[in-house]
Amino acid sequence: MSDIESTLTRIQGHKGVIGVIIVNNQGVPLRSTFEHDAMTKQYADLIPSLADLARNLVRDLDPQNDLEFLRIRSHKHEIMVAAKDDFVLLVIQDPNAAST
Amino acid sequence: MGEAAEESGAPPVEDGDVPAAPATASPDEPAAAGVDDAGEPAQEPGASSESAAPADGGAPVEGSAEGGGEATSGPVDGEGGDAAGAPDGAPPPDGEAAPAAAEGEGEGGDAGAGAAEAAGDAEGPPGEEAAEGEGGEAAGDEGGEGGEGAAEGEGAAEEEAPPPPPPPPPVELEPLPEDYVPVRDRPPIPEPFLRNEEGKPVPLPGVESLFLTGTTVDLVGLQGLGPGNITRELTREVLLGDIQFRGAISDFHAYKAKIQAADYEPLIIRFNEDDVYGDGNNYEIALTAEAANVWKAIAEETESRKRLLELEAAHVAAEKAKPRSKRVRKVKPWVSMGSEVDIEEASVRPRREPIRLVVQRKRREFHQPGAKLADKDAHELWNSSQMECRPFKDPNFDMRRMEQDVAVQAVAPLRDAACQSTGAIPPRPAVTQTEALDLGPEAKAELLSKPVAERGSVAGFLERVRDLAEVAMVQNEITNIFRDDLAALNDEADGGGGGSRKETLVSEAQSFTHLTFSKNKVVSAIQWLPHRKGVVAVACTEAQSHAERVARMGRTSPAHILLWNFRDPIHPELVLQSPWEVFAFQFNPLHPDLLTGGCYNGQVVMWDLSSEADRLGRRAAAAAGGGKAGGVTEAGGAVSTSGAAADRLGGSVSAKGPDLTPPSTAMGTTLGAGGLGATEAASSSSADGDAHIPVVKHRFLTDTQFSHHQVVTDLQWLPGVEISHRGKVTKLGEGSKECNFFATIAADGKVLFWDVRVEKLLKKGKKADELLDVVWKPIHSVHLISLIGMDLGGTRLAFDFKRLDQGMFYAGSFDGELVYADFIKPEGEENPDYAKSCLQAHVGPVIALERSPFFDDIVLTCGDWQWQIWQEGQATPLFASGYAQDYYTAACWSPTRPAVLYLADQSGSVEVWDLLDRSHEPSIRVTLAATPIMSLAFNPMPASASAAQQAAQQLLAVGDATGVLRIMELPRNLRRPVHNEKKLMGAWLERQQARLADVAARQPARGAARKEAEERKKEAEAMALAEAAAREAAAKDAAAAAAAGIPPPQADRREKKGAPPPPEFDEKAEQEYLKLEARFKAQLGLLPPEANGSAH
Repeated sequence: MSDIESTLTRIQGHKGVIGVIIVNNQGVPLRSTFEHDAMTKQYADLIPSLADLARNLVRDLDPQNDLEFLRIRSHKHEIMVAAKDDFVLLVIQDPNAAST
Repeated sequence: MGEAAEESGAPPVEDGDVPAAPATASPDEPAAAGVDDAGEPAQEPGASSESAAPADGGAPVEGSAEGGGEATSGPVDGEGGDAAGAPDGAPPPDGEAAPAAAEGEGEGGDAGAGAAEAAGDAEGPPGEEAAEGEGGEAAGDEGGEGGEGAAEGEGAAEEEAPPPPPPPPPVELEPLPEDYVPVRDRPPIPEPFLRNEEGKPVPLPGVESLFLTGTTVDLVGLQGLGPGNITRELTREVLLGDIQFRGAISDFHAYKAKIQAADYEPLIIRFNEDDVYGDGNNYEIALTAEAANVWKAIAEETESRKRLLELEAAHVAAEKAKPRSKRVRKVKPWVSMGSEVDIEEASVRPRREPIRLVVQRKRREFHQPGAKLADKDAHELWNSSQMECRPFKDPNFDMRRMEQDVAVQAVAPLRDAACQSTGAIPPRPAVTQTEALDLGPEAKAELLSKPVAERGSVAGFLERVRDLAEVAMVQNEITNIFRDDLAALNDEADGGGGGSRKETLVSEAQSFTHLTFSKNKVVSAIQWLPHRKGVVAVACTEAQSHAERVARMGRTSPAHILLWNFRDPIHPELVLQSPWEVFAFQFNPLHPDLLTGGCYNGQVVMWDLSSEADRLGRRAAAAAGGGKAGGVTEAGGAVSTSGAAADRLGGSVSAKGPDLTPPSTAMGTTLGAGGLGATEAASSSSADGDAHIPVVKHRFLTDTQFSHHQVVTDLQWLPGVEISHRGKVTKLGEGSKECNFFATIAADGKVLFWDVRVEKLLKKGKKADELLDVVWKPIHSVHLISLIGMDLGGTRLAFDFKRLDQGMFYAGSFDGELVYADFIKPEGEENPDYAKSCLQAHVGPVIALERSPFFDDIVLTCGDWQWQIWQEGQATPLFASGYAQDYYTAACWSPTRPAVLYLADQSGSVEVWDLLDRSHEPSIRVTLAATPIMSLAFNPMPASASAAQQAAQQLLAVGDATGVLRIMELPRNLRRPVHNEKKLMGAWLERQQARLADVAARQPARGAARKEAEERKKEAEAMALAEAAAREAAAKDAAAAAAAGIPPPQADRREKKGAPPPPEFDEKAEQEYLKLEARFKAQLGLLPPEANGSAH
């Protein structure tokens, strides 16, 4: 437990990090640093399916390949998705805040 | 076999018949098999059970007759047969065989289409048979065989049957009876033997097969038996005689008893040529009447059929001899050969009930006149109006189909389903609704608390992916990957001074001057029209000194503000006339048709261009038309009734009534000097081309009594606020479009605030033309005091437009002071001190005071030879430039680059200072004119900063002291900010702040040090003086002593060195020198302690 917490705090310690969510393979958010439950749910609902799509794509192109990391850059945020094993780690960062 | 037979002949119907089969079979096995073959077919019909008669020539004949049943080949045979009649006639059989062979051969030679196969088969064998026949074998069997062989050729031979054409049969042929059955249709002739279970022939009961030697044959007289003649009757006596004669060796001996017992007379012996029974015997004898009858019947039948065949053949031949038309054709019954299937397939059969269509017409419509029906040619119809079904182009055949790019994205299929359920039947709506899956807190906690090593542990997962995420985050922190490096490169190139000349050079785009209005006048203020592109307003004032002005004081000197449009560099678009020279003016930023100006005498004028806007638009259109001059102009006249230009422009002179008031007299008194937005012909213009320039007179003029008393030097509109009479400021709502107030500052130390809504001052019930009586007074007044306690000679105003409601503003003065003041009147004070601070910034008048467009608290001031940057609330400038060579006349910030400012000086140059580049000298210095530049103004920028940066050009309007307005186009590097310029400028300002703070922090220490140094200096001076005095005294003593003869040692030395000067002079000089030396030493601190001591 403490391992997880320490990792989360470490990730959150980076500049511009808005939130961190851990989602299991069924789309259930296990741990979130967002205060709003709705926001967590939305991310947990939407992003893993996108990651799955991306993984499908990568594996379609080369069946021996696999998705390592997915970064989604939007106007406001960058959503970093690390999907491995049975979990998905979402980190939402504001790159503008990060780079200044 | 059967097949071959079928195809071989025309009559396929009879294919199953016996004769046909042997017909083909016999050729296969020429001689010996003949009987076999004949036997085989007999089995099939099973018709030969009781044929006993062994010998008969009928069989062959029959075979042939059968074969030729339909053929016409028959006649010869038949005749042959007829002629032969008797069984033993060798020639007839021979003849018969020959034709048969001939037939076969003929057939072989030129077989008909259908007979080809059979013919081929038959070819050889008949020949053999014929040979056999010729061989004189009298065996009837053989003859039958041959006949059979011939029979096979029958069908095919029908056409060319009569190679030896017989003479046509006698005409008197009896017609065949109606119920005549053709021979070939009759049942086959039974065989003359029986067959056992295995199908082998066995003699009939009562028949004995026996072997007769040639001797026996000769003895009993059986010679000549053979094919076609195979039976012979012998009496019992002959046989018994032979037995008796020859005894035991007689061939008949074994059957003596049977012969004796035979129940008929004479006995029949049949030639068994082929050894049908396979027992090696060549004859057989019927010993009972029954068997003999069978044989006889067979023989008779054979004979009769032979005859019938001949008859038939005769009929056929007769028929054939008839002309074709007379022939009787036999209708053959139809036989299925499989064609019905084809027919079935080819036939069309309706699949549904036919449609029933009833066409009806009303009775009364029959025979109506007028309905003329006529035939027309197709080509006429095709295009005529009667053609109801016109040809048209079907776009389907015209349309070109291009290849289509279609992309499909696989997504989980969405399905909309609805169900309506009742009661407790399972899918209840409440059950079918779902919500997001979630785990209970315990489950989550359990998952989260799984140890790292365990499978499916969140901690383990995090450990694996943490680095990935962190790398990404750090990357974001370090670099902005979406930065456009190429764009930045471009910026750097600009900053580096590269690029073409055009990109780095300040170039003059256009210049304007007008002979009457601006030539040799000073461009004292420039304003870009905020709502129109490419239009600049310029206020021109006489280039007069203050003294000259004083001399002319009291006399009105109409001055003008010119509106220059880039489209016309010769003629101003509009001229605004003012009773006094205007030194400051500004357009209302939110209602650009309103503009106010401050005059030399302290009054404020207002123009309203709203009535001109349409006119200007039309004029722009008309200008293209050409007609410039025209109308009446009164040369030099001050008065004009309705201006020619106004006339030509199709306008009423004024919407507010006739304008007959001479402007020059009406002006200067009170407000609304009659102009009221009217346009006058600029009759004073000397050039004809100027005739059309519309002149707009002011609409309102402030009351002199309540106005400034000295020249108005600056004027600023205050958008978004409401100022009350009590000096209270209320901020209007965000995005308010109201801008009704402006502030003016003048040299009399007052800042006045005006409400532009003059009409509001009118009392109710008064009419518009009574505006004349309205006194336009300032709504609020702020009095500022200078450092020396006099009225502040204000020159410039700078408000913070973002925080207008806080009331703080800067003002500059003629004496170089910078006043930081609050224009909000505090409660309860009658004459409050509005100024918060008053600092001596410059030596000369402050000629520019402008807030940075990027930093709210940064203010640029410029006066004399220096410019300074101030930060709000600081008592010392953040930065002060070095002193320039020429007197500055104008300054402003760049509207797009935070670190750039522009300064104009007396020598006609414009300096561009890029503080990020260097701050000790201007980055660029451009000399524009030989005359002093008097004013600078940038064209208005789009509201948003980014849009401003992207704007295609940035123009700087520069006005000089000779009335020329120059529009300078600024290069790209001055227009576009370098990357992060605002941030860099912020850092620069911070550095300056730090420097100031540092200086301030050192101030006490340095002051103390200075003080100490000064004290020490004073001390030393005092000491030196004392010493000098002491020396003087000593010198005097010495002199006295010298006079007394004892020189002091020092003096001695000096005297030794130098030549003795004249005593008086020497002494004086010496003392001076010593004094200086002492002071110097004291200053340097080199004074020896003993000296100090001695001084005391």
